[in-house]
Amino acid sequence: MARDYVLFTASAWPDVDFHISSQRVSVSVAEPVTARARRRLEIISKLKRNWDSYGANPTSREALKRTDALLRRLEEHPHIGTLSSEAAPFAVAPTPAGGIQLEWRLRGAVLELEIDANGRAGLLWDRPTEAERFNEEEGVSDVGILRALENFLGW
Amino acid sequence: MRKKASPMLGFSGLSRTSSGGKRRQEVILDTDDLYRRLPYIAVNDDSSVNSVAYKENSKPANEVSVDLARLLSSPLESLIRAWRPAFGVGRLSAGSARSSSIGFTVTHDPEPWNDAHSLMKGKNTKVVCRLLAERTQLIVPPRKSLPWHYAVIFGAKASLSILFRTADRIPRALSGR
Repeated sequence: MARDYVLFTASAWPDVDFHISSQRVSVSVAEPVTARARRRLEIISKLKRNWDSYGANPTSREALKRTDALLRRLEEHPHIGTLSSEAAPFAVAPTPAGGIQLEWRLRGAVLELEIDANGRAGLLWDRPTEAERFNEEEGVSDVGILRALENFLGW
Repeated sequence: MRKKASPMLGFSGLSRTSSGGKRRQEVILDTDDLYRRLPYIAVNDDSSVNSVAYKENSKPANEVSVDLARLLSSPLESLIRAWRPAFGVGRLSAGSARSSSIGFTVTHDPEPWNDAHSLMKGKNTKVVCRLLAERTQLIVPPRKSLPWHYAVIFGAKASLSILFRTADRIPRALSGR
């Protein structure tokens, strides 16, 4: 009977798994959790004026730059390798004003991050089961965003 | 009450009633459905509508354009009038937009080439956008790519729609003189 064993996951390379079975030995490299978000950013960066048919602006360079920097910080986060699927943004979408919105979801709650056309970030927590469902914070730094995300994901 | 548009060709033709040169303003009831065009990038992977679908570019602020479903023969007509074959359509009831948590007013605001055009007006915030998106049902999913045969059919329907609406306008323009 063929059985698979994970030989080891090197802590220095959390995205790399070494597998051995009775037939073969394989090494698999997982995509970083931000890979999908980066693919969406690529699409968003190519949107032209009026992409929503209601007169939207194309996404600004500042918004793209800040989102890219934030994703890099997320990739470098010490816990990223162990909580991959939850750390990946559920949605990445452009805003009609030239910004970018990222959204994380966990157990019915939502953390929405909007980076506006000037690169300014704002957070919105949506916790439908709580008495005070919505909470907003404007002008958040990258450190503040990561802290909010850690808090949201329970890191 | 305005006559229902012919559903046969998927566009509104000569069946519209008219009163002089300008379209009559309809009263929008809470039970009326509103259509919002949705690019695929504003629809999440689980087919829920992203709140960016209701965000604006501040020109003008606090106004969200929608189409009054009752004046369209089908949701696809909303796409035909805007020449957006790959877009999806989301449906929202006027009553939802007027609910206390959102607090929008909904009025019919006919445009020269889209007499179903309506406006939701009020204080549009991030929270309001989330609530609107949450209450919007995706009824026509958007397409990432457009098959050529679909593009041809869509182009033909859109051209006929323009032709019929132009023909509809001529007698009204003449009687308005």
